[in-house]
Amino acid sequence: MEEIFLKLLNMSITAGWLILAVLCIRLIFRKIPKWMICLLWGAVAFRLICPFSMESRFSILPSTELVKSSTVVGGEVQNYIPSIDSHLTIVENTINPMLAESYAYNPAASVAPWQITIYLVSLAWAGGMILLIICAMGSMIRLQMLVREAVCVKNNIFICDAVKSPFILGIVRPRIYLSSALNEKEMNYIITHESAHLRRKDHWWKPLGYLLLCIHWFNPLCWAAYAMLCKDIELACDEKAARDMTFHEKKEYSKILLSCAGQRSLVMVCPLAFGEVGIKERVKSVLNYKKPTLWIMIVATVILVTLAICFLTNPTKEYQIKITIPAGSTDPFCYSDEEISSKGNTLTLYAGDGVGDTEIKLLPVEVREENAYESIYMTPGMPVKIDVEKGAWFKIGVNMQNPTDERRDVYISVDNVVVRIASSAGDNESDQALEQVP
Amino acid sequence: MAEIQLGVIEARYADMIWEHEPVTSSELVKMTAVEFNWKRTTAHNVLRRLIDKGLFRNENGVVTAVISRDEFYSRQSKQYVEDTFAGSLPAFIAAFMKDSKITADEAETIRRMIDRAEEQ
Repeated sequence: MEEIFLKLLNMSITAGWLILAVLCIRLIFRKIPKWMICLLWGAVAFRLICPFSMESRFSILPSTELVKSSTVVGGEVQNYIPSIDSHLTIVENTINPMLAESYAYNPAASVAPWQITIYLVSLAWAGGMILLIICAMGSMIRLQMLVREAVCVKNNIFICDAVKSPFILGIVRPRIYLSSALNEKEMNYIITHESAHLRRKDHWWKPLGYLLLCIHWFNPLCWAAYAMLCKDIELACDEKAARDMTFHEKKEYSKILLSCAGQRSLVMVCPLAFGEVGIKERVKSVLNYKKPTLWIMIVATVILVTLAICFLTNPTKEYQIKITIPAGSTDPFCYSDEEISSKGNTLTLYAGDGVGDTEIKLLPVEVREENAYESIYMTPGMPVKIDVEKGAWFKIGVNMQNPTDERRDVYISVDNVVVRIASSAGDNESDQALEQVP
Repeated sequence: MAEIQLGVIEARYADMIWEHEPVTSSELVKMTAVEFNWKRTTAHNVLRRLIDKGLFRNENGVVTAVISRDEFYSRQSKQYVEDTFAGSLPAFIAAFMKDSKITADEAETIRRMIDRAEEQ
C-alpha cells in the first residue's frame, strides 16, 4: 500500500501541473468552446489514472517522481530516506539535507522512521478515500429511494413529485428525472439539455471524475479541477443545446433557466454549490452563443495539442555519470566506472559538476561495428553531440589530471540512455545502485 | 383546516382511489402497477401518505374516502406545489441546474437581461 500511495502522490503532483495549466487556459482563452476544455479535463484524468507515458523532450514537467523514498548523499544512494527530486538548487541544498537529517536512521534498526511515516500517511489516505466513496454510495441510494415513486412518461424520461431540480440517474441505463410540476414547454427545453448530457456521456464522466477525486482527495488542485469540470460540463451542454436554437428559442430557454432557480432571501453572497454555474453566467452564455469561427477553432486546436505534448509526455531521464580521477593521476583520460548505451543514434553530453573546458572521449566497451570515436572538446553550457552505434556500450572519459593527493569526482550529464555498472570493476563502488540524480 | 398539498403524481393516485373506492389495498397495488409501474411497497407508501394527510382511511385492507373529491378540490386554491428534496443533489449527478438559488433582485436583473437581448 505504501508504494501505491507514493506512486499516487507523484502522479497527483504531476497532474497538478497540468491542472494549473488548464485553469489558466480557461481563464485566458474564454472563447474556446467548452467541449474542448472538457477534452483537457480528459487529459488531466489520463495523468491521474495512468502511471506511464511516453518520454519526449518537449515535456514541460520537472519530473514525474518528485517525492522519492531514497536520497543520494555524497554520491551514495540511501534507501528509506525521503528526498525531493527537482532541479532547483534551493531544494538540493536546503530541503533534501534537512530531510536526510530528520529521517536519518541506524542501518541496524529494523525499521526506518520514513517507513513509519509513509505507512501512517497511506493509512490516512486509504481511510479518506473509503469515506468519500461510502458517502457517494450513500447519496446514490438515497436518490434511488426517492425516485421510487417516479412515473415513466416516455422512453427513459420520468416525472416525480419529489424532484425539484431535474437530473439524470443511472450509468448503464440512464433515466432523466423531471419535476412533475413542469409544464410542457419547460419539459421540452429541459429534456433538450438533459439529452445533451446523455449524448456527451456526462453521466459517465461525472462519476468517473468523482471517483478520481476520491482517490486523489489529498490534492486540493484535484478539487478545483472537479469543480471546474462540473461547470464546464454544464456550459458545454448549454452550448450544445443553444447551437441548434433560434434566437427566440434561446430567450425562451433562458427564461426557463430563470424560472427553475430557487428563491434565496439573503442578499449576502452565497457561495455557489460545489461545481455549480451561476444562472447569470449560463443565461449570458446561451444568449451570446455564436458558433466558433474557424480562426478560434484553429487556435484552440493548437493550444490543446501543445498542452498535450508538453504535459502528457514525461521528461527524459537525465543521468550524471561520475568519473573518478584518482589522486596523483597523470593519465591523459580517466574513464567512468558506469557504462552507457544510447537509446537512439546520438549521444548528447553536457558538462556536469567539476568539469570545466576539457576534452571528452567515448571508450567503446561493447560494440558491433568498428567505429573510431575521437575525442571532442566540451565547454560548460554547450552540449556535445556524438553519433554512436545504437545499443553499443561506452565508458565516458575526460581529459583531466589530478595532482592532489585526494581523489576527485567529476560528472558528465547525459540523457536518453541506459546506464549500467561495469561488471569488471573490482572495488566497492560497483555495488552502488543506479540512481537518477537531477 | 390547513390546506393539503398534493404533488402531481399523488393527485393522480388520489383520483384513482376516488374513482374506485371502496377498494382493497391489494387492488390498488395492481392498479398502480399497471398505471405507474410501481412496486408494492411504493403503492403502500404513497397510500400511507395520503391517509396521513387526511384524505382516505384504511379499515381492514379496504380503502375509503374521508373527504370527497369535489370537496377536496374546492378547498384547493394553490396549484400543485413542488416538494423539494431533503438535501441537495450529489456532485457527480448530471443535472439541469444543481440547486441554484437567486434573490428577487438578481432574478429581476436577469429577466431584464433576457428581455433586452437582441440578436447580433
